[in-house]
Amino acid sequence: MGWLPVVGLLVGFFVVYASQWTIPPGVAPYLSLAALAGVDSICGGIRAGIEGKFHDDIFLTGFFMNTVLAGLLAYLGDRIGVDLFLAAVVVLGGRVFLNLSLIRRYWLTQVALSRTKKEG
Amino acid sequence: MSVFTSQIRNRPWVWQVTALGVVLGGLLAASLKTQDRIRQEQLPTTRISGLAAAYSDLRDTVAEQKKKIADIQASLIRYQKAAADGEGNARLLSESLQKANLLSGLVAVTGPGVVITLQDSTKRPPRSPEDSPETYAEVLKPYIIHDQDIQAVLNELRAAGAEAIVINDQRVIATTAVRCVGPTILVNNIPTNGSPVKIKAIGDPDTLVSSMTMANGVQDAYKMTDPSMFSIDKADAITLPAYAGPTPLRYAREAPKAEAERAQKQSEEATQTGL
Repeated sequence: MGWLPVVGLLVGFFVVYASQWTIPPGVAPYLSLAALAGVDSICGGIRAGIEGKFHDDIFLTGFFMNTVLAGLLAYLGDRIGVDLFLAAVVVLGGRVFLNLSLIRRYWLTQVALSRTKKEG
Repeated sequence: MSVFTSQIRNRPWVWQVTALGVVLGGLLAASLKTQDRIRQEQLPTTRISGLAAAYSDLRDTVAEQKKKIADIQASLIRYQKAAADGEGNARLLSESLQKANLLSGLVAVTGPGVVITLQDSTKRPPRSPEDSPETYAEVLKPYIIHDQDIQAVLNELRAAGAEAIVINDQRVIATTAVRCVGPTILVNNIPTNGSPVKIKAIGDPDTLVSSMTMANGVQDAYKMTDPSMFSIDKADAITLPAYAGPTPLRYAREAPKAEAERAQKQSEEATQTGL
């Protein structure tokens, strides 16, 4: 079941990629940032799930709010001449790395545990 | 085996993550597609600030180049004046140069003429529900001024003996092209207003007006769509600016005498058979 989120990701990717749907280049950077926020939320969700702290309301609202907010904040930053884009990239990127490394650690611990069980 | 199989089973969060994973995949695909398209169009960046910087850089360069051209043309006129003050051959040469400049559009000229205004119609043809955007664009086409409209006016003006013409204050010279680029019209490679387009021409005002308003002429073409797209006014005295751009000829050279005579003969023969 662990591969389900990956399958979902691929399905969504290819459906949109194969469609005729395009967006104007003007909003492209904001969309990219929204996608990064989405990656952050998904990673956070997986991490919380592994830790057993998963709350569906937090996860669902977090995903949509963060994507929309990231795009809007970057847009606002461009309008008022402050590079909020960069701030969002740093914060979101950092969190993605943190979450991924935590997921990796849990996974490694699990592998080590099962190995000791087998041996013991 | 892995963390997923041991802890995930019978937990609803995997399904939620999967559902949002589909949304995220769509987001990623959309931004990837757009970035690909941007790369193909070779924009320097898509950030508004970056584009603004590139634009203002280019605008500065253009302004600088324009100033250089104006300087060079001013010194050219100074040299020509100096030559005109000379004696004999130099004087004759400079007189013929003045004539050539007048004809080629390199000096500002003034005289009677007409002012023609072409503008997009405010009317919109009715759109039937089965029209796709493409077919509706085709229906809309006659209601919008295109380069062909300007070319038609230009051709007719010249046929009626116009001696100097400007389009949106860009002087029309021998190498001038008129071209639609998006909502603007390029004249002498300078973007100008797409609507309204102002065309001024020096010549006999009565002849010019009648050439435009004759039956089945240029003006009649707009009767079917919207007559207000085309208007023409006589003017007692209009002044047209000189061509201000560069005038490089990279390929054309003056032909040697024998070649020139042969070409001349050919042209005369063509005239006779044409009759």
